[in-house]
Amino acid sequence: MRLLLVEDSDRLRGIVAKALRRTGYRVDETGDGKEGLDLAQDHDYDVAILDIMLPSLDGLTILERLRGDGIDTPVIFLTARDGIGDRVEGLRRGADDYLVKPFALEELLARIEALSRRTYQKSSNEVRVADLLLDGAAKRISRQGSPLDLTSREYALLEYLMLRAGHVVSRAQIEEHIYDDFVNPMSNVVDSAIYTLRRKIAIDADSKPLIHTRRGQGYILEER
Amino acid sequence: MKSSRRRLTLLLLGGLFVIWVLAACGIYFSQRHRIISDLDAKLTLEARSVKFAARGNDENAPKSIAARRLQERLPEYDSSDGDAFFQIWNPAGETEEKSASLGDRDLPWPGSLIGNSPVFKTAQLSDDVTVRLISIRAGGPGKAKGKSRRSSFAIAAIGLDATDMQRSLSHLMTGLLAVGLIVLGSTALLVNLSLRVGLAPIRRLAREAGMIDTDTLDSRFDGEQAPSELQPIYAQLNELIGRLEEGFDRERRFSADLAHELRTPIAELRAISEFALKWPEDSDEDTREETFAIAEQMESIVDTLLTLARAESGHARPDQQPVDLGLLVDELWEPLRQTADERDLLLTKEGQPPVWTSDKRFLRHIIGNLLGNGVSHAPNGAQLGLAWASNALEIRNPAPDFPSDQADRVFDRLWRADRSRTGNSHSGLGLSLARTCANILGLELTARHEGGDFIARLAQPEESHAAG
Repeated sequence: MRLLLVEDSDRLRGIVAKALRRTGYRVDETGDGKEGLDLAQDHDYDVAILDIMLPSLDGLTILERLRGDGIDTPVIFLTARDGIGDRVEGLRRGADDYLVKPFALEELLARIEALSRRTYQKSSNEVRVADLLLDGAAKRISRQGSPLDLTSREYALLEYLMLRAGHVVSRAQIEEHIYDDFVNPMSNVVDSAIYTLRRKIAIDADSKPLIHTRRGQGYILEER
Repeated sequence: MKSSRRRLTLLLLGGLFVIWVLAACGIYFSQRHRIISDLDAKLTLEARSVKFAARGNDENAPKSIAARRLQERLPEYDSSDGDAFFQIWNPAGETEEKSASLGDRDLPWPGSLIGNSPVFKTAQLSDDVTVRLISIRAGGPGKAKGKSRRSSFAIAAIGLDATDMQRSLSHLMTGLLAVGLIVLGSTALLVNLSLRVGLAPIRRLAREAGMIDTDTLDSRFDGEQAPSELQPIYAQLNELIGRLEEGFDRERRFSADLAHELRTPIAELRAISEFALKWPEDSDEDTREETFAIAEQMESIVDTLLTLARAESGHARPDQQPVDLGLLVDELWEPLRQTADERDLLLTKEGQPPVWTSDKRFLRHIIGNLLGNGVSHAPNGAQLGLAWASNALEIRNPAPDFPSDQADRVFDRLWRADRSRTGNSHSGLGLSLARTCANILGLELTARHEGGDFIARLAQPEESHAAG
């Protein structure tokens, strides 16, 4: 999943982005308000994490512009402003969550997961597709009860496909959500990742293939 | 606990008691004097008659004549229950004659009288009879020839019953005492009532004071209806609350600023620690260095806020001494030089640096902040200009994106023009502290945005410069 982090404190932004990436998210980050708005308008983020007091454009204005443009990316405010009035204003302007500094990283991660579930209309941390089971809290995917040995990127890719089970996901969408901007569009990084993933989820000879290719469209995860 | 009301009551009653005792004594003794004078006048009249009678031609019976004359003049002498008395003694002290009213009683022997002056005295004739007496020499040198002058006089004592006088005086004394007690009692009640009414504004003041706490320091005592004697107390209390409010505001501001400023570094520290605990294999030297940098930043924030709070509380007193501003700038530029070099910033100086009589510690805060501000905000490769005049110094740095109408806001606490540049290293308090220090020194610190440059100016006021 792809997240946007707009926070003007370099150190805080750095460590939060590092933690998010380590958890398996793809993260775009900036310390500038205008740049944050541009990124949010140009990309389809699963969740945007915004500070309120930002240089050039504050977080509340970014949110207003996004909602004005019809972009409903879930937004979490991450701010030092802890007054009830500040929280109410943030939520009323369309924020989905509000976290006051200092905060616990675990709490931020849990809130991001909750917002992601909402995006994909899931009410639980567990997602089941055929005999595949995704445990969002444990960041673990198992098949027929056996945990799969996945890298964080493989996990992110399989999670993305599982959350969209039954829907075709294009290579561009995968690149957008899972990989960094500097992925060469001509490379076959997505194809090779899908190949690896197919191999890893085929835990035995009887395992049914679940990831299917739609020529010219992309990939679909479903039981056939 | 000492009660003012009790003390005032006791003082007033004590004073009134003394005044009343003095007044009662005055009344009593003047009345007594008047009664005795009247009685003495009567006795004097009687005595004159006796003397006159005693000077008659009958040389052998001066006493009888006197006695007769007395008895004629006052029938009370003859009556056994009369209230007038006389007794006549020969010079040897033997009773020659006495009034029937005396019965078997005697008037006190007055002794040998010297001269012709009468002698008055009050004596107790019996247990229930008090008499006022006049004692005289009756007779005296007669006209008879060949007779000794000494044998021609007698000692006479004439008395009038003074029991009524004593009784009147006794009644007067009782009356005075009773009136005194009534007056004192009434006064005690009146004083108590008056004090209760008079002290009501103080009780109201105490009630109002009791309702003031740290959350209601913006309220003031309403002294409009208070008596004029309490107006100064109301005014002083209001001033005191004003000072308390100012102090509490300062403390609250300090706490709020501290909490606000520390939120981000604490969030950073917490995130770094959590990350290191969760993924220890990813924790490296950079993480430790960042942790140390955060600690330094927090220390700097606390130091700055404490300095600001102390300066604003008025505890900081300037220590005036000659300060060479040129040397001070060189000293302050030294720690900034490395950053300036890294960012390719050049400091240019114009004019002759002056020597001001001021406090070096405060000037260090002010100029240090202005220079640091210039180094932090000037674009890479820019030129920082320092211009001297005898009464002012200006520090100029290019700031093309600075909102020109907000130049003076740089002195507001926590205000930041460009947070992206100041994110981790500046708290937004430095220039606020600089202005507070300038105010303490009586200097003017202003800022303006002109031709794309941000210019901070530190100046001595005109009159100070003219005087200096």
